[in-house]
Amino acid sequence: MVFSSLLFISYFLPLFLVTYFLSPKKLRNYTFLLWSIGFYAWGGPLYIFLMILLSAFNFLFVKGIVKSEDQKRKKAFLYLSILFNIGTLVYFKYANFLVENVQATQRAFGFEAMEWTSVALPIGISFFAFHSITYTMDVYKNVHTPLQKFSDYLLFILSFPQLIAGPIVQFNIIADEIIERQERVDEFLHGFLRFAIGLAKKVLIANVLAEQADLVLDDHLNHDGLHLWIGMLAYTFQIYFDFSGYSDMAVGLGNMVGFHFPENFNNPYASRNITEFWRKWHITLGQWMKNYLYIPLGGNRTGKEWRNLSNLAIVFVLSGLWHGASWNFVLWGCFHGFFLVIDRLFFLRWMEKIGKYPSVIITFVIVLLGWVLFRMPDFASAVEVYSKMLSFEISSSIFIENSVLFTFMLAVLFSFFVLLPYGMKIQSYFYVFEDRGLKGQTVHLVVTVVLLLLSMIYLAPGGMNPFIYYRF
Amino acid sequence: MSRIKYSYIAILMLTMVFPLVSHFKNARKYMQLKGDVRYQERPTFTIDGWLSGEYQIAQQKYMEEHVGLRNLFIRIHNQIQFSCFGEPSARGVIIGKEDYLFEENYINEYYGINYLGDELIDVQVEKIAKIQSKLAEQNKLILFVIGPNKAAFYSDKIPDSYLPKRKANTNHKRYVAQFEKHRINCIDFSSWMNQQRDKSPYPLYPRTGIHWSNYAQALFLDSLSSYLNEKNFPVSGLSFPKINVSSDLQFYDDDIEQGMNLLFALNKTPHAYPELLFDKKSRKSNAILIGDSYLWNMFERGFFNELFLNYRYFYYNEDVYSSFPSTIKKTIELDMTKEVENTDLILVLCTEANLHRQFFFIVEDLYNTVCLGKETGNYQKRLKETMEKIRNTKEWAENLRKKASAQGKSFEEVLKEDAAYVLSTERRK
Repeated sequence: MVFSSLLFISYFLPLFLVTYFLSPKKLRNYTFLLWSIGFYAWGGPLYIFLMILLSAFNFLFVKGIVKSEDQKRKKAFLYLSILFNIGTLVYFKYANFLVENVQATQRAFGFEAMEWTSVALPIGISFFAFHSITYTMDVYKNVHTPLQKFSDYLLFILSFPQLIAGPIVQFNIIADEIIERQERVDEFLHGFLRFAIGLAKKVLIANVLAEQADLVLDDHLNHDGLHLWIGMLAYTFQIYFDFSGYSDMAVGLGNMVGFHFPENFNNPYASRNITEFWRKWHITLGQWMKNYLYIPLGGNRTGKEWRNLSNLAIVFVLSGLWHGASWNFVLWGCFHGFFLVIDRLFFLRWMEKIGKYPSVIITFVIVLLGWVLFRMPDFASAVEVYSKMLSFEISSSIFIENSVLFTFMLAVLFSFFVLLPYGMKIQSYFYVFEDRGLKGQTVHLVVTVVLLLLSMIYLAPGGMNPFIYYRF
Repeated sequence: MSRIKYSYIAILMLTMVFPLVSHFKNARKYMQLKGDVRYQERPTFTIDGWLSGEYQIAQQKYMEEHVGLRNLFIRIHNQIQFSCFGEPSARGVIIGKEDYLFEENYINEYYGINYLGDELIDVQVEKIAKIQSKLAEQNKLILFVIGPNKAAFYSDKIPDSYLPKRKANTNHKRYVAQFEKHRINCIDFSSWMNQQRDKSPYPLYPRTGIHWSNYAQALFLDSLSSYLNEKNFPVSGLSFPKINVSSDLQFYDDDIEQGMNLLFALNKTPHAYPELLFDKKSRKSNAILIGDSYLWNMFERGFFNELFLNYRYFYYNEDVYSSFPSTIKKTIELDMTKEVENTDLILVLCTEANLHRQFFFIVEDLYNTVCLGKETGNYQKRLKETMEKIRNTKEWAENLRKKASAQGKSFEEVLKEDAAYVLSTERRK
């Protein structure tokens, strides 16, 4: 089940909200948990039991950390927990990839490839593993006390707003809210607005541009360079509005029930350099990597520049790999790692000198070129796309539907309008929770209803595009 | 203040659930959608279906299709796409100048995009000539009718952005030339209609429909009746003493517009609706009719019952409709030798846009039967044999068992469906 569906909007969410708020306060976590389990079981009926079992193990390991009196035992449970979570992630997400590479190597040397039955990927396993690790680390480092009830821990891991696509919520950020939180009317309304904005981003912009991107990129051999630029531009906006839209929906859903999930995006395409881009794109992943990988590696305080830079590179290679089990994702991570390294060396200073708008455009183009690796299924097709794009070959005239052109305009506007005067102020009016009085709330209500209805209108066809007649 | 805020919450909740509330049971009937719209049947819950995820997919589709205001939402969506962006929300529809509506395959035929090639057409027409000759020996007639092409008729309304160049040859041109060469019985109604565009007192093609207008259809029936009677294949005579004129389009005159499922109707010009009078005194001929939706319109309105004594109508040479009691529903079940024996004339009507479908392979079917003497029929026997073959193929049978379980059907049901599919694909090889 996805948030951007009539099933979720008209059936699941209203039922969830009604049962949640009708439940006595001390039972609300259970209600939330049950709905979350139902949400996951709908999409992954086999894996829900696995997730609960894996969560139980990690909960016990962390209990072991807490109950252990000597540091050695604590550390042992820490390593056990981390190995367990990383091992789970590696097995379910990367085992097939690793084996495929071993098999390719075996064949290259003339040996018979080993036999292997593919492992299926449980939904949300990447987020599951990362959330579990934050719990372990935050308890181990005494950043926050552990949860007493397994059901509360399950809620932290499985809560449906952030389970499937983030944001990655560090335990210490919402730990107190799991135990005790206040649901406020104003925040509920604001959460709804946020949800509606995210839904509109996904349905009205991302989905439309996705069709255009797929049209070109799924058939890249039959399109010239110019069409591929347009396809990649569509994909660049698609991925932003899709992902940030989903994050908005998750944050909004959290707000409705008293949670304050962290922000995940902050106008990344309006960045002036790649360093800034990574402070604004998938912020929670960046923070997780920083707190749980980069800093433990020594960060930029190793005393040796080459080590500082290699720590950065490692983090980005692993960030790339986290996104998917393929060399393309590794290369994408390397691509960004490379630019982060040269930023540190000289590129940042150069971008400062050329001015705001040129640096934004250059950064945008660099990010767009990086997305080629992310989008194409393998390295060979990525190279084909790059060579056509960079040759700027044009072999046919462009035809883009009016609705797609309009959506492109919206995408450009909403990606870059913070660069304009009052851009940030307008954004804050809708995104930042503040007491805006009845007038402000009425404006928010109208916007929420309009966006919700428009999204439902555009969801209704559900891909329905009938022939007039079955056979003409 | 808090009461106002709670009322805001109520408004938001209502916005989410209101589409469910009204017309839940009659969801599909409210602002009913037109066109080839397929609905998900309510899925049966099975453990296998649940674990594979197939049940959830089907159940979600079913529930979303029963959101009460879904049809209204779809029409609003389509209206926005049409009015704001000039885009249709029906597959294959092209919006021309002044909102003249086309189907893409009509334009493709006009521009020769689907041209089959000289050789293929020539070989087929040679077969037709042999069939015609063989049938004539038995005092039977085969007649080909080329139905009109809206894109050719309203070529000035095709949007400029749509493929400006016309290719040298089209299926229509080649078929007509070859028919003339081999003296094939043919009514080229397409060319005739194009010549009549500015002369006809009433529109021959509606702006918002893909089929010829009722008036053009009446003219065709009149021409057909005259032609067959002149050829000594007596059919009912036809006249239309009264012609009703109305802007309230009827039958299929606005079928494209209907299929676009807009919220607001497009402006209409008056169209003519002749009241047809059949003189059945001379109705003596049996017929086999093969054709596309242009024939369907006439079949649905009962005109063939008036024109012929008995007939079988092969819709796209797939589905069978008979004027007499018959259990046969598919052409694959027919014994073509018997069918040809029992008929006096064979009429094949194919609109220009469908010419690339080579007259729906009826030429090959008739050639095999009439010229080569190949046997068809015994469909039930062949079906049973194919079912046994599949049943005895371990992997195939296993896959079908899984399919049956996931779809909540019996193994035998799924086996029969697969066997029927195999036979239908084999037929066209």
